[in-house]
Amino acid sequence: MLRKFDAGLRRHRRRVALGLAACAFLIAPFLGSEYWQHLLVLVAINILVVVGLHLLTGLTGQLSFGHAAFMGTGAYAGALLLTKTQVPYVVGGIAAVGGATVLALMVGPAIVRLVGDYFVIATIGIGEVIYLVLLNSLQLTGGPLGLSGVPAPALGPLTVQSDTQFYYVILAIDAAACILIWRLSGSRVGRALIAVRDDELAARFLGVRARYYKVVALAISAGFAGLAGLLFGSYASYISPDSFGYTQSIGFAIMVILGGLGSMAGAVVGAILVTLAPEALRTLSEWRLPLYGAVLVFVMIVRPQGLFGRSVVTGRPPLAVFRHIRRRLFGESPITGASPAAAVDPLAAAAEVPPPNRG
Amino acid sequence: MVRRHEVLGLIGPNGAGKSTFINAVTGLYRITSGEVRLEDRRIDGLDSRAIAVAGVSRTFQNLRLFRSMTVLDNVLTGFHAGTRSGFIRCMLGAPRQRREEAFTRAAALELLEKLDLAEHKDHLVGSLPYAQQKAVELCRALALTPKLLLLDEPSGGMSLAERKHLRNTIQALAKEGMTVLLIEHDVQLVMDTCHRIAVMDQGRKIADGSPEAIRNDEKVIAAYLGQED
Amino acid sequence: MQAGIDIVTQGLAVGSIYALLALGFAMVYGVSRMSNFAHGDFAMIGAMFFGTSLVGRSIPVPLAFIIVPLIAAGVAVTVAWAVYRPVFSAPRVNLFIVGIGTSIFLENIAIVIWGPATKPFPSLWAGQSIHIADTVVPVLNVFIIGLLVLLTIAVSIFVMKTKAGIASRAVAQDMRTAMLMGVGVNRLIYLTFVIGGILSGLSGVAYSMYFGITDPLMGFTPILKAFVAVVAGGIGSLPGAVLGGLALGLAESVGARYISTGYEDAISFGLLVAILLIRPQGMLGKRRVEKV
Repeated sequence: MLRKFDAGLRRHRRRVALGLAACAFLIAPFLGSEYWQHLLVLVAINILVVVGLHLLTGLTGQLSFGHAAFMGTGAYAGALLLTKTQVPYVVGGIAAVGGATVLALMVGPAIVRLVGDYFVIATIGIGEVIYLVLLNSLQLTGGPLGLSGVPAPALGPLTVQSDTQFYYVILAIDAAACILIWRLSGSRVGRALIAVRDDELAARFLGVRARYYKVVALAISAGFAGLAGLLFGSYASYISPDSFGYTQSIGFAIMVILGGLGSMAGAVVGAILVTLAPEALRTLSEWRLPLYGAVLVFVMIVRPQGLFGRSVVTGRPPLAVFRHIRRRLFGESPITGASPAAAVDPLAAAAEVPPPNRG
Repeated sequence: MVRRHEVLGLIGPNGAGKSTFINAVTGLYRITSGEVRLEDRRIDGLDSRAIAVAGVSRTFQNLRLFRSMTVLDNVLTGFHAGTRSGFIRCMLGAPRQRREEAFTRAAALELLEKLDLAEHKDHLVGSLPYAQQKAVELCRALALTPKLLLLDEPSGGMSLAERKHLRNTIQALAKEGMTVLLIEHDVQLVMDTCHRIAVMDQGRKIADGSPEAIRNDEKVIAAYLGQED
Repeated sequence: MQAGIDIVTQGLAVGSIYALLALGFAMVYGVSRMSNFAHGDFAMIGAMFFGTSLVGRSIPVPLAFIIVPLIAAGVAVTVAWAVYRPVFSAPRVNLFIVGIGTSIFLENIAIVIWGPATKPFPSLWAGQSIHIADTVVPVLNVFIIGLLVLLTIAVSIFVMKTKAGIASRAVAQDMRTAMLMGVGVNRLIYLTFVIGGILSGLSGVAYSMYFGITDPLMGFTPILKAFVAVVAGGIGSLPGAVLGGLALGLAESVGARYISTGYEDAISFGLLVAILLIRPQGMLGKRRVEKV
């Protein structure tokens, strides 16, 4: 009897965990005071960005260190429309998604040709360019002074009025996003994306339109970030370029990586941790950030696959160089079974940093 | 030229250009002269993806499996070219996508059964022994239902028993009418499985004929043993 | 004419700062294939220590010029040992995050030690210029450019003539063969960090001398510019890094003249993206082909 129960539990383990998580998310606002509500809203916003980034980086293997640029573009696109005209909020939302997506479609086809390190550097470059453009376009965006008066989300007669309401609204959007991306990852397209991540050449030999998929993944993830940007703007009722810079981009990347590349749950957990941790460590004042840096290093060394990342079958020799030697000597086809490269490594192909793949 | 339903072996000493040939044919390298045709259709100049969609499927000398995926998922990706659901359908779980997925899974399982891999379907490919990983790659290539199957040194790193198994597999494929171009170092394997053999040396074809004829061909022997000093 | 000379000397001076940083970065990358995101912070540390040594201490300047780069090198080697050694063969993502983590750590430790404020850096040749023909050139600019020339020559000699340097080139071309030939790759990698640290530290000092400030976050933008320089010059090429840095400095100098300064930085990054798309191997880089 017990065994049957146990087996049943294992089969439904995922569903149980999901149910518990859903409950936790739903009752969270009741667990704390005003400041906690504020944190929850931030967490919810970051989750939206991170789910999109999971699609791009976790599934498709394109590491982006410039994602805040899409967030900012969407935020400004939506906010400008909403503050300068009287359109309904939903239209503003569409503008936000659209603005970010358009940016992604503009740069995407060009930068997805880049491999590994080059792609990352390109995303950094784009992030900086967007930031600087936003900062300097005084006429359009108000420059460093920012844009204020961003309205709260509203649907018909209903307007979001409190932090808690904000939280639930964004949570609902998060849930929808998660469902979409989850469905995608288990489908034909999702497999194709993972194939592109693992071995783009082999994927193309199977008929996968790698470049197209990469661009679409970029566009979708940008769209999510753009909407998140507008929601952030609505929440703070004010946006400025400083909210969408390199630091934020790195923050999002860290959320996904710490949580575990390739895992959506990991990305969400990463978002929660990275958003809440600074608050938890506030008492450390000036030591908070050095500690943050040290923890990053530590986690990457000790658990390189992140929290929910697929575990790697290795034994780490004292001097990691030797494993590198072994990999280089024996190439990618292991004679001994599971190779270290079984871990999710979006940039594995770039171990030699080949030039951008024009194939 | 590979005739339909035949297994053509391509052998030659190291550096003869066999891999280069296969890479050129599959669009990885650009061809500077001559043409490549698949059933009356020119495919040279097309990129690898288009060539795959046209019906040419291959395995790789150094194994190019999707290491983060299971055996089943690897084979499922092989069916990518034959299905059409895009981002939106997949995200929304549209009926057509569901049907395609069910069909694909059934077909994949069938293929795995055929190659004795069904019991491993949910294992990570990296956890399988090398020879079985090669089998998975073959399975994945077959999922394309190719008009032409290119096998690039499939017996590399295999033991005698594994080579026997490979030989049986290729013979079974041949019996089903699959058109195969087999590039190999293991001459015995080629002799056993191929209807016809072509020999390359220094980037050129130097012989072409039945296994018997090749075995006794002077030029072939000279190429493998080198010139008399 | 004077204006033209000004643009050129300014461009070369700033370019030299970038070039030094890029050269150090490229050295480490060339041998170990690791992009050290914290490289700019070695520069910051160099500048910080130099700044504190100047203010109110009695450490003579020439001595500071020797001690500070060594401190920066020391920090670099420590980082290499503590942070990069364990992730050397890990997926590339880890390398980046570890570098970023180190960068965050160093920057904020600097804030703890020296405070977050931007501090003025005493300039050594304030207002002094030399006269060449009809033109006036600030001594500072000459010094910085001279520093670059000196160090580039030093690195060239190292790479061309010394045993370690030749071994480094071997490793950069083919690590596995070099290892099989008995080259002590680990020690070489540490050595590149030492050299990178020295170059970076001096770059930081030069930066502070030129712009007159130090600030714990000063390493941030320069390292991005160093990226641009390395990419522009060609990833994997040391002379390319130097050329790239100089070219970038000149481009910025010209750009600042004719376009509003806010967008000056945007020029560099726009350039970066453009280069990546048009000629990703940069000026002197080599294309590598993936084997199937």
